[in-house]
Amino acid sequence: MRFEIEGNPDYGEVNIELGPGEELLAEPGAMSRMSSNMEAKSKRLGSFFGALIRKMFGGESFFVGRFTHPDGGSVTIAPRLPGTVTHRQMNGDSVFLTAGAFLACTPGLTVKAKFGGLRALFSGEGAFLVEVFGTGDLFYNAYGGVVEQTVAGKFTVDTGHLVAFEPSLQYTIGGMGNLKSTFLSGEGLVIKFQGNGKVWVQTRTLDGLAGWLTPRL
Amino acid sequence: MRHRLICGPGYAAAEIELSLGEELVAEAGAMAWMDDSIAVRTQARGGILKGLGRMITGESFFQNTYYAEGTPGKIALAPGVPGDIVPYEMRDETLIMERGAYLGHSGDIETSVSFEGFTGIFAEGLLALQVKGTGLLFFNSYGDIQEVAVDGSYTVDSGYAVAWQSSLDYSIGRTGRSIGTFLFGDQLVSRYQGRGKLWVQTRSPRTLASWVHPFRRVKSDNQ
Amino acid sequence: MDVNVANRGAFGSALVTLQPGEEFISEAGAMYRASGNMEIEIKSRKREGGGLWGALKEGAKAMFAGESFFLSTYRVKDSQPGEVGLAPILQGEVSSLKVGPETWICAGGSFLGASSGVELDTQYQGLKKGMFSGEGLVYVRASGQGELLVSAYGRISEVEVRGGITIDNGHVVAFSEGLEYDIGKAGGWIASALSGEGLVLKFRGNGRILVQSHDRDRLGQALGPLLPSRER
Repeated sequence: MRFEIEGNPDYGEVNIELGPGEELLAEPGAMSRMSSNMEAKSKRLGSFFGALIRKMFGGESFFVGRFTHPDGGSVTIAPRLPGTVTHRQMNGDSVFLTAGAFLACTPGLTVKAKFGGLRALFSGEGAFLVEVFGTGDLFYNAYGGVVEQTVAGKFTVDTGHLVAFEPSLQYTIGGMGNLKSTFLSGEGLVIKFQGNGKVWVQTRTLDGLAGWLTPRL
Repeated sequence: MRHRLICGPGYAAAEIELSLGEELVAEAGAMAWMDDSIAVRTQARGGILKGLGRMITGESFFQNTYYAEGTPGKIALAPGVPGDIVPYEMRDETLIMERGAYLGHSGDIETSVSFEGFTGIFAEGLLALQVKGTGLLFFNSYGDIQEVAVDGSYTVDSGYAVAWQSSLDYSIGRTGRSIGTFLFGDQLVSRYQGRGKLWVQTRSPRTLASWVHPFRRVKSDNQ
Repeated sequence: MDVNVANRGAFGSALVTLQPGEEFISEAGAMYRASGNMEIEIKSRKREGGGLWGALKEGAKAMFAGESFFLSTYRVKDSQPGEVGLAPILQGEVSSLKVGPETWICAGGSFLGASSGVELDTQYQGLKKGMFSGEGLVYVRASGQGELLVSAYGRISEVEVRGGITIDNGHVVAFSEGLEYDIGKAGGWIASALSGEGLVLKFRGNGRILVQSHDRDRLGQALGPLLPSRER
């Protein structure tokens, strides 16, 4: 498989050349264009994601797009929200992503739902985490720009702004402090990291866009 | 107060370093990430709400004040909408801006929605905010931001005006012909006269609101 | 006439300079700045069917649902040149295409403006009807001579057809007339589980195609449910 990320940092998209029989798994709707010979079939993610995801999505099975062709072909994938797309080569290691950040991967990787705790459920997509592990290529996206933070100690991130982080970090999800601050500060939930490792954050959130637009409707 | 802009001009965020004793006031929801040494105080926006006759759905009525506790630390502010941020040094002056453009400030700055010359609204769906004083102000745009040095007169579709110096005279007008009750193309324009700085953005919240309309859920009868 | 396209970071826009006597047309509401001597006239082209205009909000909704096309015409009021700045609704780039050497079929949501020598057919029915009619298939045919301004959600690229290219309908910006194409569902997709209508355009032959990196419908579907519900 060969790939090229174009359009970063504002409008990242990935052009992928698949060899004969090679497969790419991508989030639904990610395909923007492909060579006409490519097969695009849906694949039920029963074994791919844990049972937790089916519950989250109201009991419906979760689909992922599977791209492949016996002769090979090309496919371009783009995330739902515009911003920076990142490639990560996985070599038997693991990384945590927020569910909305997952874009695509090769079949050697497993994606498992990871709960941030009950409180994570109420903050929406941003706190819903997946763990990706195995060997292969992972593509993930940010809404807006992505910034890498090296944590050595403690660090706080608004859950909507979280993209990914290394498993060496411990984390808790909670409010901003006292009750008043949590519900009235408008910040919603935050994720507090502790330890040593990298965190990737994004400069825009879908909730932020909805909040900004609401008074203007 | 040290600050830098990152990921601009498309998705700008402002990273601000707070030393002990420095305070940053920010729009609720603007904090994106911060060091552990940053603490927060939440308070009602008494000053801003003074004179405002009605509640605006979805608006937050609280402001957060961030400060460093123990050791200096950094905090990143990000607006809700794609676009740029302007860090503007205010020197005993007054700016008028679109409500949603305000991101945060530090120093001796006062913000209010009720002031002479405005009933609070300067265009459909757009509220005006007066920002007055001395200090560092952060405001943001939907889209790119262009600074226009007005000297004479200038016209901008109202949705695209972000902020302007109060030295400019401001009036609203309409363009085009209205065809019966059809008003859509009858654009609301803002006319600026005099000398002063005007910031214009390249996208409009109003058109975004219209565009997203069909995607919103329809109220069911039993709601 | 001078059309100056600027793509700065994530946001494109165009600044059109007009001499006395010249005219430019744009999607109504695209104007964001104008010199004081610019005259603006609003016209509309209704798609098929009759019906009365509604009030402001009705008109706006109708336009974005693909039922009507509202256009503004710009000309200078006096004997001085004038300028008008045009920008699309969402973030993304703007491009200028020459009409004449090509006739362009432009996605409705991507149409930004055109010089007066360009003939616009906003009721273009060339795309297959029946099963696939609907707002996703609003296309405008631009023929004649002049410049066509298109906007994208995201960045614009030109792609090669080669042996055949399949493009998700939400990613098509414009293509030159003369290309062969089919509209269908991407083979094997279960459309209801996936984004939008799942419509794709399969192109063959010779011609030019402009695509955009992102799909507006996906933004709308993600954002809509997060907003307060509407009356109608």
